[in-house]
Amino acid sequence: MLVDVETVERARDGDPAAFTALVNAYRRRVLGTVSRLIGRPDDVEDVAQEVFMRLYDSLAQLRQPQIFEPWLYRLTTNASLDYLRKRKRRPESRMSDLSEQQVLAADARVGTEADRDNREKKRVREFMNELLGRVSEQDRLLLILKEVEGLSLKELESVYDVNENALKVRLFRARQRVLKAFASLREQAPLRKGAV
Amino acid sequence: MREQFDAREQGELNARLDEWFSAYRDACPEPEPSAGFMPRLWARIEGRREFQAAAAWRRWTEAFLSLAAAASLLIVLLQVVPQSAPVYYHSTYLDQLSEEAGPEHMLLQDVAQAETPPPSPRNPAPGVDGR
Repeated sequence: MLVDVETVERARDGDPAAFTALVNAYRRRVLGTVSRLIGRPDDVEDVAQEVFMRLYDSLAQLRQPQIFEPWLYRLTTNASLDYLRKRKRRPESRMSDLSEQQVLAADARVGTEADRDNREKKRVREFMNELLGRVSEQDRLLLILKEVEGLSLKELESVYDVNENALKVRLFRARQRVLKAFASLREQAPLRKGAV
Repeated sequence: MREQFDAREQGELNARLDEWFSAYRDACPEPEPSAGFMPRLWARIEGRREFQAAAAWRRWTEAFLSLAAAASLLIVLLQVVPQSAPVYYHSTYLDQLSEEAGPEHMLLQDVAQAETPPPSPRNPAPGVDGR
């Protein structure tokens, strides 16, 4: 945990300074998670603020401060899902929208190593946004939490409030669906085969 | 043979997908919170708290007004609905007494008197010396 249990307890008991400490400790992580979950940089801070407002409202119900992090992940996931339900997700720009020549021409213009690295990262983000955009919101969120955020099965159990077997089934199905999308995407865009 | 190929292909796809996820993890920038993040958050929390307090006050007011309206309606209904005829006394207490001691009562009194045997020498009236 990024903060000690006492801080969580004090925040739960209504201490504003402790709550501020919690937000300061976790805001970067929440912003990062929200950013990956919703895929819209412009709205990341708004959704993160909504997460902390929900935290403020519901912290009194947290009986075990030890499970604060999964609790916060659950709030983050729910707030992101609500946002996505309200607003249809629109990825910034997609690699598939650009022709191969455009990509090569853009690459040729890039001079420095850092620029090349940034372009590569952008390419990876765009490809993954497109890939994850081909599965349901639930699958997308679950896979990001598991594969990108690196949550363990135990933590995911707390986030989703389901038992391990149900979670494994959900993960397996989500993975199968994204694999299918991955295969079809690779067939459509062979250029990306050797990207990583 | 085909199954083996499928399993190998599936395994390869899985490995490639894992690589993509890993690359995605590295490629995602960690967004920096803006300078006004905390003040804006506290302002929003305060705003929501005030809104909730106002909403609670409004709910109480509405409940009170509803109760008052219901009570008024009940009172009006009690006024409007015809009640059973009130009991009025048309006669005085003395009239009532004389009514109770009316002719029928007198008649019964006479019968009662007729049934009692008249005084005789063998059976003198009470208070009369039987000597």
